[in-house]
Amino acid sequence: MPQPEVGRTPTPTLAVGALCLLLQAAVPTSRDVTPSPDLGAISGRVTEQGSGRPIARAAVVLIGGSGERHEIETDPDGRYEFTGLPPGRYAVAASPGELRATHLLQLLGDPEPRASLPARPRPAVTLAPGEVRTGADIALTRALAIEGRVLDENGEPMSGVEIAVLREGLPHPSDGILSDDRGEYRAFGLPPGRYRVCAFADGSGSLGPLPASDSRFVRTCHPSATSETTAADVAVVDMDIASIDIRMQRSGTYSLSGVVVDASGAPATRARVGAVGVGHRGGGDTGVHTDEGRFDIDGLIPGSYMLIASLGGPETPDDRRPPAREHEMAFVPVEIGHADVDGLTITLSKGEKIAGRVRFEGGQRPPFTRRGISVFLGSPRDLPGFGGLPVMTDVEDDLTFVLEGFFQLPRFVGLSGLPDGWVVASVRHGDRDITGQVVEFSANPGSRPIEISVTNRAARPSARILDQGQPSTEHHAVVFPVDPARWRTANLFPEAPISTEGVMPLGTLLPGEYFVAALSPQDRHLLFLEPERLEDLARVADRVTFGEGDRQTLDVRVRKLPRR
Amino acid sequence: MTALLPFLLVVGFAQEPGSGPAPAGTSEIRGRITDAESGLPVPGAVVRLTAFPESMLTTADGEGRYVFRALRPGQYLVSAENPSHRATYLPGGYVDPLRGSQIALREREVRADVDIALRRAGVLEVRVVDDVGEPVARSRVTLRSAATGARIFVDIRRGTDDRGVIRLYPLPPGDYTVCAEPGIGRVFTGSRRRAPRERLLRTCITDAEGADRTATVSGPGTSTVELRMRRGRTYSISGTVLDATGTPSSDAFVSLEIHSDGLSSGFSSAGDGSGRFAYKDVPPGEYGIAARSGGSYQRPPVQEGYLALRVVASDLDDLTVHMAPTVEVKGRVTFEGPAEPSLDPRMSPLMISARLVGDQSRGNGSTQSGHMYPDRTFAIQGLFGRRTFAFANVPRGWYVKSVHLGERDVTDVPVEIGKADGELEVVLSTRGAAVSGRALDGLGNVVPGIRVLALPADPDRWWAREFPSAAVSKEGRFELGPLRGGDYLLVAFPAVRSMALYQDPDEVRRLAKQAERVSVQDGERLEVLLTVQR
Repeated sequence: MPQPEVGRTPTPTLAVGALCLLLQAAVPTSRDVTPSPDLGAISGRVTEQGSGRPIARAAVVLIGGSGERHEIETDPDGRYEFTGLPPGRYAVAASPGELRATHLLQLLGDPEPRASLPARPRPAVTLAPGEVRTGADIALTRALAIEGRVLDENGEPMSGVEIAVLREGLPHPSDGILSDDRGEYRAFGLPPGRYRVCAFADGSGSLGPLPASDSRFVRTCHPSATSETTAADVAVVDMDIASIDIRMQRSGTYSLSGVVVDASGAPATRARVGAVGVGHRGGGDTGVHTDEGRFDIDGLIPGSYMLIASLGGPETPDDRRPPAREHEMAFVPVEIGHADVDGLTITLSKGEKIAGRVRFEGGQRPPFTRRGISVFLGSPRDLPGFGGLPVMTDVEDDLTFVLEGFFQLPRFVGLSGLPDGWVVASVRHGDRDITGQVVEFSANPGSRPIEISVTNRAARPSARILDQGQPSTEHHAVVFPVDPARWRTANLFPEAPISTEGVMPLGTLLPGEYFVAALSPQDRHLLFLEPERLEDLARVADRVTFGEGDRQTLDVRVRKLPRR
Repeated sequence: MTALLPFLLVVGFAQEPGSGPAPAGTSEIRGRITDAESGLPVPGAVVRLTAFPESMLTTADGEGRYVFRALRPGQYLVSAENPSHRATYLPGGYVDPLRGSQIALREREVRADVDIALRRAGVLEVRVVDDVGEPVARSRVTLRSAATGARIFVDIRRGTDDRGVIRLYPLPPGDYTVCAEPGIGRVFTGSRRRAPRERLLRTCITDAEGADRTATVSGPGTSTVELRMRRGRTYSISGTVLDATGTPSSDAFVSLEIHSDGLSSGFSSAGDGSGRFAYKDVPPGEYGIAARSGGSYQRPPVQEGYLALRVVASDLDDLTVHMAPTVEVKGRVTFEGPAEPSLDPRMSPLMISARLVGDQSRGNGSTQSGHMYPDRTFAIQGLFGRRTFAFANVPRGWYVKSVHLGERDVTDVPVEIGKADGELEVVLSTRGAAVSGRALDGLGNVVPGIRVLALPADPDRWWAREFPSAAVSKEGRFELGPLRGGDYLLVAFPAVRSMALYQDPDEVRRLAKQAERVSVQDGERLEVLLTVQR
């Protein structure tokens, strides 16, 4: 199914342990290829940094100029050899091997180990025709671990608590670390560095969510910090670190109460009401039914919530028939401080329905892609938790569409599946220009149609990414309009291939002014997690103007996302 | 229009703790939760009160005491488990030595003695190493009870750590089969070049002869066991997808489904526009190749094909997946009897499933399903190919008497699904055949905890995960039915293995070998004597 591109995560980077899962390509061996005097070889030895101990069965990956990958394993003496190689530039990376977390991924010629293998690592070997390169040795750094215990206020061990390890504000890619029956956790596979270790206890038993109580555990970082500023750094140098205990903190909980009225203004009977944390999971998710219009949700910790109320609609998610009662919903943002919130009135409304039409500029309809194009109502990037659930519909062959069954929430109109080279030029709702804007459609009568105009009079520039003056294949360019009004809907993480020369297409863009910068995968991830950092990026990015038909390749320098 | 539904799921309206058995009654259940060994209270223990199908939770206070107030008269069950974020005890239920676990509560009655003593749990610490003794990280370890064959659900979020270690808990004393898998979804779709490769494969702890060896948890505390993973060759799977006209499909989306230990998961897709697909480095196991073309966000694929595969010890190349146009089959359920069954909206509705003939894979495979709506209609989307139908959640006392697709009787015969088939008419009835009798051991003694199962004699129908069954009474008697007339394989087996039957198709095959074949006609009452199988 086609997905709207906004809100998509950056291309996931490969965890060290996952390396071997993705890289198995054919290993060129002498029997696979016709012997040729032009073919060369690369060989070397994989050892442990420091001890010099050979690492048997390590996974060694060779990445060629066009991105092709070959993987082999080292012999008992840690040796590897790739043969039958055409002349060209190659990167070589080694990791400890299938399902081992003993050492870190290392690229030949890199000073430091890596957490993940870049899509296009920098080549370290240039092979002349027929050249046999020996001595391409790689020393692997031992992976390190942080261990400790999770304790409650009485010093009792807590099991089943989720642990997150953060390095420079970014979660380390670790898979589901939980404290065990003794309250102990072990976060492993870490490179040397400064870390914070944080824990989240959802408070549930295996029987299900527990009844609301007057206090709840909140996210706590070692040693007992409930805010980033009071958390202690854990320095991991060359040994595993033990006794990094976390004493879980509690917060008082509060209630949200009020009434729900349906679209006709009557108290809603048996409406479902829930509060979902926005930007935090602190309060957990709670659902109650109204009783004569009244609801009362207990056990919420302070923070921002989205109250969601729902009445009628399909009985089960897969029920596609008209429901017995028309679906009514409401979304109300609520802030909870250190007090109960009472007297809320939630007014339900029926699902909206808007018809519309797509117009291709010049009247010419290009051939559609196979799956056709779809219109969606996307959620702005700064409404976390709601971004993944867009309303979507197919555009019919006559270029009309009907969006229906959506409710009052900030949204923007987008198109997915457009043919190459085409881009949305404008979106009009009635007589309003809402191009790139976030709108609550129910604020307008649904009768006015949406007109989406699509053009191929666009720029299709590319970026040559330069890291300290050298082309880089490991960074990504980010491009976004200069106009801050369009930032909430900007697609910052398009999937675009990067060539060996570090050139990345910037997509199809409307003529206009843009900010452009290249970011490391870490900074890109940080920008994804914290959309408000786009403001910081705008301050260090280059400002460029793209005109119609521009296809130039411009130099884009790597920028560091300013730290806050 | 369904796009907002996930919200409801996220918010979790389905679960409504605290709003269970309607309050405003006059009765009360209270008691104390203690440690079975020391007799000390278990403060914070989570206590569940169940009045089927609803339940509510509370927690024990500092003295281990709990109370459920304002209850209405009725039948209740009480169970308790660890306080939140503790893993000390095994879950336990209240059982009265004379009256059993059901508590029959009268008006204004206060039951103050509903005490539960929790037993301390055992822990199995498994260390997984590879064939050369190096620790295996991020491996998934699964457990089955040796006694019941049932999978033990432990927290699947966790894998082994960098030392190869994982602790599995809370476990009751007993013997366990322990298996480790390298993780699923690890199949690579690659270039044409072939490279046989070795990798770690799913391994269970076995003895020298290769038979499953069990790990014993003798009681509270930690038992340790080491598991050495096998390494072995992987294979390639490749072939062509043909569309309904028989030409290689230029737009098929191909995915490889992995069926492992009763779980279906792990998609990876391939397809290069020429109708060719190739997966390399595939470990031995069960797979399905699904090919889909056309369709969109709102519409199911226009054409679809499915091929179930078993990779044993060779590459599977030059396979052909035939796609056919998909059809939505709509239908209606008729209840034929003196009165319609009462359909509780909180219970799972009747499920109608259709599966390709010959698909023997574990898990869902080619099965497509639909649920009966309250108005007795249903719809199954995305059907194609030659299929058989099966049913689940059949109301108690009813059986599926007949299934017609348009004019054709498809009750027991496979049918090629096509465009102009008409509606699927399903008739449920209360007046079928009945089989009753005695189930005794080889010496003629009554054995407690036995069930009798009626498998259809046709192995093509064993993919259904619900079969008529009945408990054997203390006198060794059972009453099975109603059943549709036909040939059945009857087997009496320990009821504790019922769960395994549901989870593991091999268990069905094993039971079928021990079964006795009978033939009954509609309306007939048959009396049989069965020997209990272990």
